[in-house]
Amino acid sequence: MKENHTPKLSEDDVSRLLRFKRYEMPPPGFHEDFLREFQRRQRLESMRPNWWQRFKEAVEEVLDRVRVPGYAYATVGLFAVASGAWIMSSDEIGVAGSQPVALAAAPAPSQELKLELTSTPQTVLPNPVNIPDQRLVGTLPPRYLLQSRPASEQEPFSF
Amino acid sequence: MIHPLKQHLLLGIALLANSALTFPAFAEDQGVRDLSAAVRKIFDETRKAIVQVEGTDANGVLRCTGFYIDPVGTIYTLASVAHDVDRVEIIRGGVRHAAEVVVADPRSGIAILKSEPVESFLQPSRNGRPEIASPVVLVGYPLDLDVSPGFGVVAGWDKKIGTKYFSTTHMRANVPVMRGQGGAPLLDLDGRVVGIVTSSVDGGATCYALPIDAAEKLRTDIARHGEVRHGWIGVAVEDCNEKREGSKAVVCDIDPDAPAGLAGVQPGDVILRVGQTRVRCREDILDASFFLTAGELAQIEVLRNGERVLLEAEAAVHPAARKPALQAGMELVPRLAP
Repeated sequence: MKENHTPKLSEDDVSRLLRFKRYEMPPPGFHEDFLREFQRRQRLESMRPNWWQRFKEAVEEVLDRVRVPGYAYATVGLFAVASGAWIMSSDEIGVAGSQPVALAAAPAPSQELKLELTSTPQTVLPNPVNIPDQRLVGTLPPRYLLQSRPASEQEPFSF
Repeated sequence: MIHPLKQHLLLGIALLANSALTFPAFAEDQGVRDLSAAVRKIFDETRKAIVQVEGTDANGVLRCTGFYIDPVGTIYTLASVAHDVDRVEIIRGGVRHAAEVVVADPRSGIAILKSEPVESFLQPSRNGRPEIASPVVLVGYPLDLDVSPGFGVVAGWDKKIGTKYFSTTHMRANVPVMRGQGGAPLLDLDGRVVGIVTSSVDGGATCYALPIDAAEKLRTDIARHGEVRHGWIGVAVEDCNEKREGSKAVVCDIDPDAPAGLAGVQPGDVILRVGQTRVRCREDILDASFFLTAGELAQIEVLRNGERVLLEAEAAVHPAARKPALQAGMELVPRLAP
């Protein structure tokens, strides 16, 4: 059985505590200003910008101090256009690269640092489109013939 | 109790009645069996003379049916498999043989090839054109399948379909055909060739065939002249309102410098006969024209002022064949104005 250690207050102690509580009062005007102070703090909290807005404001403040010349924007734009054109031309080269390409032979170790051409440059032309590959002709399925009507006469009543 | 004699009599009557009722069914069944046996016999006897013809050009492979018509290796087939191709081969018994194009004639729609001599070949019918409802047997290679028989009857002899006039009268046969069977022979029940399948009608339910006498005209030309010579005399014909001497085909235009003009044919003459072809109306001109041979004399019988007149004209080269004629150095005659 656990023993209760709460100190027992005498009657004098209790009356002294009551008197003390009777004189514990808020500062003057506390109750009058309480509502106004609460609304002020609430308004401040709602108007406080978030971190992105604060960052944006800071950047804008810095940019306002730094003046960027017009030709910088033009340079960046030109660079973007040039990059786009280069990427497109790279795609075309990729398609052409699927055609057979004559590859130069690997240079001998003694010639690795020479920049001279070792063979005549070759021009690779695509095959004509309208001539089927003869190797494919044998693989195509045959066309089985039966005409839709007999041969016609151009001028039937002239002979 | 029935008397035994009456019992036998009743039994006999019953048997007779039964036989009378069932005999037609047996007879029909036997008729079908006979027909089937006849078709099978024709198929077995002719299949060795039927070949697959394969033409190859830059665009691929064309394939149809052909057949030997003589022991020296002459083959009839479709013109379209042999016209303007790099090479032509025939497939016989699974073995390929080279073939030479003798002629690919667009006017008739057939080609004549030459290959090595053979033992099995077909013979053309000499009994004339079969009548309507005569049975015919087709033997050909459908698609990439093996040689197959087909059976039907002659349904008609047509000179046109829709508004398109044929180069000559064609046989319409109620024989189902498939692609690849162009160039196949139509045979009578004696196994003789009566036509060469050139085209299908109505999706393959029926076919058109060039009559064998029209094909033989080409082969005869080659035998006589070394080339096909379609003839032309320079006459335009129209139908008049009434028949005279059985014909209403009247000469409406003529080139005085053409063979017919030089022979004395005049506008207003009623044409009764050209060569062996009897003329009754302007559509008969198709056959009359087809069987003319350039360089040969053609008899033209006309009715003029109520009297029959027999004229002779030496046919010139048909306008459709003038380019080959130039190469052969033949004389040309100008065309009639349209």
